[in-house]
Amino acid sequence: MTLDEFMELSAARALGVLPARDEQRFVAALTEHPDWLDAVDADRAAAVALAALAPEVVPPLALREQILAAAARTPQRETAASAPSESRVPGPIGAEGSGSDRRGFRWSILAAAAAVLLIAGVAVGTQLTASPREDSPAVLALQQIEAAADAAAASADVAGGGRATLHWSESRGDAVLVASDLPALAADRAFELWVVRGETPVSAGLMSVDEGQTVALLAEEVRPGDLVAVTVEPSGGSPSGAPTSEPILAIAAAAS
Amino acid sequence: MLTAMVIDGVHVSEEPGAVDPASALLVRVAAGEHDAFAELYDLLSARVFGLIVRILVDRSQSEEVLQEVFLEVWQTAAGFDAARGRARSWVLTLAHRRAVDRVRAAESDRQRDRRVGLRELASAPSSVEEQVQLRVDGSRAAQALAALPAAQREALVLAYFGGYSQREVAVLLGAPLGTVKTRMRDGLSRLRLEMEVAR
Repeated sequence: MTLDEFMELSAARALGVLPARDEQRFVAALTEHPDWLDAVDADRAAAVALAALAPEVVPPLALREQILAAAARTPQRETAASAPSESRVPGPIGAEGSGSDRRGFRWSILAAAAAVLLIAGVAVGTQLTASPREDSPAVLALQQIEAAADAAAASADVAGGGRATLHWSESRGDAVLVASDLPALAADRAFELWVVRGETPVSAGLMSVDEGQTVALLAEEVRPGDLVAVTVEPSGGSPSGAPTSEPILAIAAAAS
Repeated sequence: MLTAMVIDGVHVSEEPGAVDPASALLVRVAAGEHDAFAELYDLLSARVFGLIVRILVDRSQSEEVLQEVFLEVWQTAAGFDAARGRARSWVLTLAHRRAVDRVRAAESDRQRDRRVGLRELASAPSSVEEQVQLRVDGSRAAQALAALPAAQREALVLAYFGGYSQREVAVLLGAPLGTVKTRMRDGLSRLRLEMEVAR
């Protein structure tokens, strides 16, 4: 990887938008080029300068007392773990998975078992009853995908109820999942998207669901041959960066 | 030549080797000093809360995130390396990540108008009069940002404040993903340069 390519990763990371697979490449590159850490620190400092654009807001006094009291009864971590910017970035985007946390999902078997239908150009309106925000990035991305010459789609049933269609375009690398009649989740649970290439699932973000429906632009690139899956995870996404339960949906982005 | 900056209302010497007050406090926090933690909270909480509120909008969730952030500061202070940067940056980086994670964890975006990211584009100050009105620290960043080409400025602001994924940012900007990555990289590096020039 060239320094220019690495600096793209570093900038995205400093701004908080580096996807999970790129996070792995970032860590690998930094391991190989530890002298690049200065540039990473400089990017982080520049991003923090953006924070100054937000006006200061004094928090309520009661909150101060609450926070100080909470700290008083909380133990500190003794080990000098790496600074937040270098530790695992929590949340679905940028989460690293540790090898021991990965479970041996038989993704290829799931793909074969999923009922895969090739549907050309399914309009969003025919599947959803509630209208998604027309200006949402996911809806815009879906329109762009459907306008692409290599637009493709595949559908499958969701375990527990519901139907989902994956739309993708190889030339764009974008994929949008449209789903309806999704099962209701407990308040501390969320649907997480995954892209599986080979053996390893990588988080592609959380699904925002409204009345059992979603239009979700995956945070990761989807290429033909990839499998897109959805699992139910704790709110905020799997803390380990790997799925903690069996997929409720698996759709293969079939190679054309 | 001795120069000084004002950061969060506190004069910080530019002399080499000088440790800024927040960093000195955070080092004491790592040693378990509760009074240092309270002082650090008083020094930074308005800046941190302002950032969280800007990203999350919802006040009640913002208060929860503020508590999460400062608890994490308390727990992991030993990981702060004063040689690599200021405490203020360390805390704000943590706060930004927590706020963005909370945005992404929302089950539905009814609670928060995700177009707040787009609102940022309109409100990024570009005129000299607007810049003069801002506080010293804020205006330095605003001036530096205003010196960037619009395309880079938009990419930075939308990515940092919007809570979007990189692909969502590209869709909203109407540009290919590769172009957006380049704008973020070049914009951040230009911002860094402009901030140094302004000192």
